[in-house]
Amino acid sequence: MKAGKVKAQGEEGLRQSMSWLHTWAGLIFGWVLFAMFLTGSLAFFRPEITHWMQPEIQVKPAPAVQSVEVAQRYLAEHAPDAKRWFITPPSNREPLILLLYQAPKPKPGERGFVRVKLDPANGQAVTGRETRGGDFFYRFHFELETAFPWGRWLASIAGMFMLVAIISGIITHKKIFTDFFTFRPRKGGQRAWMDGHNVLSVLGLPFHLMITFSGLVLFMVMLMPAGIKAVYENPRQYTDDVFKSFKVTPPLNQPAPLIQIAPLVEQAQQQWQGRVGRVTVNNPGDAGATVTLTRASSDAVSYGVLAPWKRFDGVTGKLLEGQDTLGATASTAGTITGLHLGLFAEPLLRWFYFLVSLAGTGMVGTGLVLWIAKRRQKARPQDTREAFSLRLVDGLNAGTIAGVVFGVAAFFLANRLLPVDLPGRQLWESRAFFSAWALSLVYAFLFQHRKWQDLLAIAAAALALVPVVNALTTSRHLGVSLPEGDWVMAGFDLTCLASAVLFAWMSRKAARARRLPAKAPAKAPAQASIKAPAKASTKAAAAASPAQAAPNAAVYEPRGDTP
Amino acid sequence: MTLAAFCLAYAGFSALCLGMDRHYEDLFDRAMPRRHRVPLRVFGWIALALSLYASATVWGWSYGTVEWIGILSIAGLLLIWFLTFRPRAALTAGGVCALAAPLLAVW
Repeated sequence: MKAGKVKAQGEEGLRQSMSWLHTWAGLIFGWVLFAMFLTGSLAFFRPEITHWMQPEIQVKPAPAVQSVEVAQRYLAEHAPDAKRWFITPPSNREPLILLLYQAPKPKPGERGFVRVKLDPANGQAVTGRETRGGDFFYRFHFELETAFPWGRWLASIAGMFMLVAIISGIITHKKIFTDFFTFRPRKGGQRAWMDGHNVLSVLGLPFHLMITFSGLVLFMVMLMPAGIKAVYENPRQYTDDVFKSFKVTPPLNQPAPLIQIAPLVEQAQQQWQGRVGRVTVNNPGDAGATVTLTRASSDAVSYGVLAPWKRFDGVTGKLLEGQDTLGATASTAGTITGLHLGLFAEPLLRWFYFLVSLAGTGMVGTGLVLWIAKRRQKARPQDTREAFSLRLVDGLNAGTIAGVVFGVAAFFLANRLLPVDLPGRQLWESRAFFSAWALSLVYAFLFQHRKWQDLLAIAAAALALVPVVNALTTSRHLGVSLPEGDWVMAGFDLTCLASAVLFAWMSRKAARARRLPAKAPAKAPAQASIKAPAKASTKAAAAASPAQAAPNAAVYEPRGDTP
Repeated sequence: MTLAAFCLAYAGFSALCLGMDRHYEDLFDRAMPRRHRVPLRVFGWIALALSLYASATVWGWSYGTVEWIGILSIAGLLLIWFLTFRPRAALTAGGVCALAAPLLAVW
């Protein structure tokens, strides 16, 4: 009996300490994680977003074989001296041929790599307005717009905190199965937020765990280099060994004509029964030229980073080496990272990825708001330090949750509104994103009581404006894209509208929650110091994502803070 | 078939949800009779398993499993939304899904 009692106490201790860990691990990087989750969700639609942001480019995809022929002709003319060529043939998602080549002697201060996009139909270079498009979100998601390698480290550390928060959260959650379907917004306050947070976390748990762990695996070489350092003399050897398809092969310094690549592509595609996703040519025009074909990463779950490849002699066309199947280790690592990148996903599954990832965004958002809701219920009015910390966190919550969404909308609006020939245009787009976020934070601290309501309304208005501005500035608005069945353009505009509706509704909830307590001052006399922010904050959390909308909305009605 | 997988997942979750005392009471305003619990739970788990099978027949096991997990998350969140704001509709939708799934699978 005694032993049983001791054990029970120990268990309670574990739960409590895990709860502490969950609270603080989640809070410290919560705002960064919120931004990472949201931009990561958007990055699942990276080519589609780029497509929307360059509406003047309208191109139809062509088969890989024909496109490679077009690309080779262009490169032979424009970059015969380049050390390496990279050709990405068109796919269902990206109709352009993407070229990248390493200029032999870049001008000082310029980058050695030149990027070109070709129209597969006529082989002409295509230029749209300067924009980073979906790449902005993709890069921000793991580099946070911070210099290499610091951004990657920061993102990785945030990811580790996320992993700790998820695991400690699972341990803390006492009734994971009993409460599986439980969401009681009408209970109000902490209970409602807790339910919402649990529902978003538990139902998306396989995804949340996978995405967090695989995100760290993607950076394993940077995070855990010891094994590589022990086996290889330098990192180059390691990459040549693992990413064989990228290996740099030496030139022989004798001119020799490059063979036609297109027939090799055709041959490989037939043998693989799949698509060639990348063509790499080393030393074109040299006797030591090689042509490496890599299978498309969309062909299988595990091909995201490592895919089968074949290397041919660039003069004779003889097969030199290659891998048609990957080893067990490479497949395991490939499956984990492939799941993160989601490149294999067909449209339906890509939407699932997007929506569940938004649920993850909501999980972080509700978690942040829950931190406030819990403390507000217990707050002592005289404790100024506590009031300060509540105000600080609540301000950061509002300024980030509504602010990042506002930033995304501002980024899209800037894309349409900035003059097309503005120098450094793409920089101004990014600046629009960060300015909107920064202004939201400032606003959140200046207007304590209205911040949630106002910022959510601003985000909603900005999102609603995106399709409107698109209609005014381009000829590919909803009135055109819907009848034409142009689902990339239409889907983008409709998603903006749906998010705008969601945010408008959350803003209304926030406003109502703010007004209610004011009408019944007797109810919350002790709360003078905290006042409105508590309730408002609850709603805000919901804002992040469509998926989370339902939970949040419900949450407020009861007004969280009533003691 | 993908739709069938989704319907099965939704119906399965609905049954599992009904098989819990709290939700049964919320929906029917009375305590759950003992004899209902086991059939509901058995049906729920079978439906979820069939949903995985349906997804795998369309997409193959590796892709199909990933797709199935996505289906589960979305179906579960949808069910919870219904339960909270339109409890009656949640039940009807569960029944409709259970009936529609075999038809969709055959068709």
